[in-house]
Amino acid sequence: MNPVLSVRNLKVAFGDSVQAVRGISFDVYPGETLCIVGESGSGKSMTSLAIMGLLPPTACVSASSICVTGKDLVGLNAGELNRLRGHRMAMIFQEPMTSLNPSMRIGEQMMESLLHHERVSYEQARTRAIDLLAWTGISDARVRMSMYPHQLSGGLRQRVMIAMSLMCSPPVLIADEPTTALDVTTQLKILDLLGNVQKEFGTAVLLITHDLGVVAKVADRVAVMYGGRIVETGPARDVLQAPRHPYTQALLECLPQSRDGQPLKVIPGSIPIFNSASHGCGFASRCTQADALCDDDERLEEQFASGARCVRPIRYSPLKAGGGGDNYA
Amino acid sequence: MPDIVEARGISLSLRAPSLFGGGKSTEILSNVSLSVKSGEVLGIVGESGSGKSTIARVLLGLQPPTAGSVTVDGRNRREATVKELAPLIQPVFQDPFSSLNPSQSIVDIVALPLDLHRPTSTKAKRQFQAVDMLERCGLPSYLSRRLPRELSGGQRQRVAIARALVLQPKIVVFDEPTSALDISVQAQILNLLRELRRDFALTYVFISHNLGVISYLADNVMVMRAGKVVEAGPVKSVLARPTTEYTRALIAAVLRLPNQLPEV
Repeated sequence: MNPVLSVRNLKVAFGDSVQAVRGISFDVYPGETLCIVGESGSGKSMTSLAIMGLLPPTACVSASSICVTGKDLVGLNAGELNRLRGHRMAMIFQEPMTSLNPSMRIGEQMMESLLHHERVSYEQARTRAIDLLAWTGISDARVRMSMYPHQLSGGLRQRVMIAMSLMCSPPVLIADEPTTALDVTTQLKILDLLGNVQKEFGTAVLLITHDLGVVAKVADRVAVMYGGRIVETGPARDVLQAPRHPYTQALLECLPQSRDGQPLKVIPGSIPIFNSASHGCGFASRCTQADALCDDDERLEEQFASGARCVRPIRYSPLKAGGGGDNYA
Repeated sequence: MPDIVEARGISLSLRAPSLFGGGKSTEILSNVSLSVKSGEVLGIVGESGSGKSTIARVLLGLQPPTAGSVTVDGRNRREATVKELAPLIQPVFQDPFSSLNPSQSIVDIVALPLDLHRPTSTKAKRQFQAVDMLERCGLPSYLSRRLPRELSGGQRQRVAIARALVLQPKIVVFDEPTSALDISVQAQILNLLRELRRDFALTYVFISHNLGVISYLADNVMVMRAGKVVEAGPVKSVLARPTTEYTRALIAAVLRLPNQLPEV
């Protein structure tokens, strides 16, 4: 099967001094969820915005290729990109309040992309919008069509966002922190809904999140980003259960849980700023295992082929699996 | 141990402003009671709109309730001004970006409570105390002349904590203090809160929607929904054996990770 989204060597820089994304590559296959997880400043949101072509002109984006359903986006002009956005790939943003147009009725905003991209009548577009709203679990879809975003709750707005993104049945859906602004019970419902989208439409989902619990719930595969690079990638369960990069492991250990008086483990220091001259492992300055070998870019790349961009990945005993208590994410 | 914070039968109704008066009255809190013993951590959980932040505002005296009484360290909230009780009970808010004055250096921000409450001491002494408290909260003194915008989110939250503690209060009310932070930063702040509680013998009222954070920090927990207390008790028993459907649903909505394998 061919990937529907294929990114090769994507870089995003702001001037010479800051490189936010430092050459990342990944594929997303039909019906699959790839989660990009990382902390603020890791470059995860820059990655999603760069793919959608939504970064401001001050950002310098370069890539060997960004292929969506086989079409390379690199070098396309604004008009050509507009024909693909919303049609072949759509985006769901974190803040459903700020990303919906407050002065436009729900129905009008939903129909906009379909009327723009496809030769359909107003009535057909309207029917599709009502169907999708109902499908996402919104009651009285017909009535909601004429409402404004401020009349809906956060969970409902996010359902509207999802329904809107599906209007043209895009093969690729990019969701940037889609549940971060929602209550936990609402989050669960929205994540279930995204799962249904995949089952029903075979959509490939690239989900950006900082929440390892969300990764555990929805991801097929995960890419952990740190300092503008993917430091570890693999099937979600493997990465969460047996992280091989020290950063992934440290991140998992930061999650609070009842430890009966023991302090939480912390990662010392903070994320440094990287530029085009930075080399070696970006986590080395905060890693307890770091030594001179961590500066060797070639060796890091070699190791990355097996999942973790680390010269000394963590190993596990296959015999001692299981045990331990529940984690609260 | 006596109760250091006590609220009895707190109710709060607010009337939506309307052009011709009248307006619809909404009940934000209804008959909420709580008590916290000295040195304890009370966690308050609930979804948005449950009234958990409003009860914090009532305890701090920022919002007078329609009915009910609040006692802080034996003093009735109604009979004291906010300023009188401020040295006893201090807040830390969620957003370290909007809760710090953007035009003041962080040492001035932390010294402000001292300027207001200890005007007789010298300015130099107040600044010294502020720098001292910043260091205690993990901010080195060379940062003390910086503006909030020059600091990271975690550092800013340390400033907010230092400002809350500089008057040496007995009680700190936290409203989602780590929700805006990355998980690695959250871990640092949670550890700091534990240390400070031990070193200064503090009592915390800790509001969060994150059950993991609550189970890590709190002794007792109170679950709120639509302005009412749904369930309350020791955190371990409430999380392990919830008695109400709502608490069970909240716990079920927590996304769990697969257990990690041991290393070799």
